[in-house]
Amino acid sequence: MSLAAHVSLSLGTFDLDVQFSVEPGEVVALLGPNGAGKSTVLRALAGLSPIDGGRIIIDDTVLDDPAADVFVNADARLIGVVFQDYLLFAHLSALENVAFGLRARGMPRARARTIATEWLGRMGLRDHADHRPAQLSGGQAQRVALARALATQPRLLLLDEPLAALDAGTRAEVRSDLRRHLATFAGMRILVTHDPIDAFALADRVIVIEGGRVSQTGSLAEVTAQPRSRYVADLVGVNLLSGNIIHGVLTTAAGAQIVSSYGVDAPTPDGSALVSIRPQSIVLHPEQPLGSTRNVWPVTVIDIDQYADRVRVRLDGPVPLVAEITPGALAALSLQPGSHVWAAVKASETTAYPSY
Amino acid sequence: MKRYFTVSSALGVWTGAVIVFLFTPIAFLVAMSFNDYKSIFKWTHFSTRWWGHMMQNTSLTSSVRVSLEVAFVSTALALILGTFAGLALAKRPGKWTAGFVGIILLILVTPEIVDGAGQLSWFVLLGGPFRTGLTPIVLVHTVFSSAVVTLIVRARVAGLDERLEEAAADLFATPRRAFFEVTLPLVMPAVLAGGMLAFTLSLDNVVSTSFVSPAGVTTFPNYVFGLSGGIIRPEVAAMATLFIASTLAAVGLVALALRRGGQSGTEIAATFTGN
Repeated sequence: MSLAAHVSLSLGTFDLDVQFSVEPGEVVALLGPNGAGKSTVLRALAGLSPIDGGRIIIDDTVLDDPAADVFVNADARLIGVVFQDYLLFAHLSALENVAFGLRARGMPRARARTIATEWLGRMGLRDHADHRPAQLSGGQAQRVALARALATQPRLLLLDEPLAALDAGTRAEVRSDLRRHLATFAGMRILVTHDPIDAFALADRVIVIEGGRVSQTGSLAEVTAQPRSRYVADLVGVNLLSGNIIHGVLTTAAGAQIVSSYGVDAPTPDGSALVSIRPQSIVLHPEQPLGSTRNVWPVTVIDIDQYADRVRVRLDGPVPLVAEITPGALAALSLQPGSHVWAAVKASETTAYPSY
Repeated sequence: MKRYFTVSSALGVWTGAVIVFLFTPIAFLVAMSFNDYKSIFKWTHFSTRWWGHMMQNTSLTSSVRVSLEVAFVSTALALILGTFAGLALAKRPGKWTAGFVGIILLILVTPEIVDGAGQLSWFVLLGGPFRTGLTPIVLVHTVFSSAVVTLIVRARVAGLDERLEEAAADLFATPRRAFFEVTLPLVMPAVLAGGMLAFTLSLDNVVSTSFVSPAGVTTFPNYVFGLSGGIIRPEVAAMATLFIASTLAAVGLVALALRRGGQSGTEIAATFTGN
């Protein structure tokens, strides 16, 4: 079972064109800022919004192909959906909610109830079978919604912002629960989220969608190592500089130069490129350092975020940077917003790679 | 602190006064059904004799039967028309909605005396079944009852999350199944409340009913109204008491059904007031 999706549609002035595939048994996260078009992609896959162009295929079955005038209705697609606010049926008990899809597929009532009971048991909700959705907590409602979607044995499970409706206190717990339950389902799973923690905690692979386009796909390690956009860089907390590279020296639009190491395996070809710098690699000096460090810039401290064991310092200068230092270093340098210091990064601590 | 106490006790007294003002006539009527005297305008002493007489007065009992038949049939018709109209208004709004809502509001605000006169002249023109039996009364009641049901159902449907039908579709429910298994059950409280309202509106309608009633067909309120020039006997009060009791029982049953359907008290109250 695999999915090949090319979703192209316009909503007013918003233009979405996204292409990706999901391998059998894979968990994929569609990650992107609000309004990037993630949920629209999900609706298109579920058959709730017809696409204007492209094609959606699961295995050999074409679900949507406007060019060939093919459109399989939502109720005929073997796709389960867990909505952001779950959309449980308020007039039905938890058990009847889970049995709904089985009944709709023509299963006799008694058998549907038996299977639904098993699913509730698997979700640890056997005691809540008779409860109405209004009597369930957020985490319980989510598990009912998940059981409801999985009970019909879909080929593809879609989850729209599965943790967004929960308060911060229960999120971590529900996230690990969800991770466990998702692991028991063997089909393809796609989750939509704007939270990188959820994406990286739950998915094998991340597809980043920005402004209606896929900006990057890859595993957590790949995306973290080589972010391709400011959005992704901010998500994973690294500095990302774009510009033109010639012989390993990147020149930004503002004219600053960054001497970078060559790519990990091969020299980065000349042309449009990105350089990422981990905040921990940036060293701050009170005076201009005279050493082997190739990248040295005079910078001004903009603000300082203190965490328990580290301090993130935002810097402005020829290149905007975030540096991460220890609380001890902060005290030794007596940094405060407005302080003038020197930021230094060894060329070997930077990673350069082509923009595309 | 003292001042607040005074204000709140004044409000309490005011509330009590309003309740007394509203319910004294009803309590009075109930009390008068146990009056021994032949009229409800003078109390002599306690008796239950009129409760026995009530069932022997055939013009009274037949008027009650007419009222109940009209109420049941017109409510059923109003529920069918109003539920579909309400669903259509909320789910498929378009250019037609404003005009349609305008017509409904027109039905509700037109003075009944105008309604009645217009309907009578129209029925006379049509003749035949429109001038005999219960048909003309049922039609007149159905007109305003379906307007009421339409507005109540529309409010409820508009408050429903239409994505629930999408969720049903994702669970393999055909549009037809989604409607009958999800939308309709969720709209049911409004249908029940609309039905209650339609039923009571039909039961106590006097003005337009009196215009269109064919000869020999009299509803309970019109029977009572016809008596007012003369003497109203306690048997009428007894029948009215029976009506009040059964109305309260019906409201209780609906509330119970809604509660079993998982609604809170506030939601039930909101349903009854059409919100």
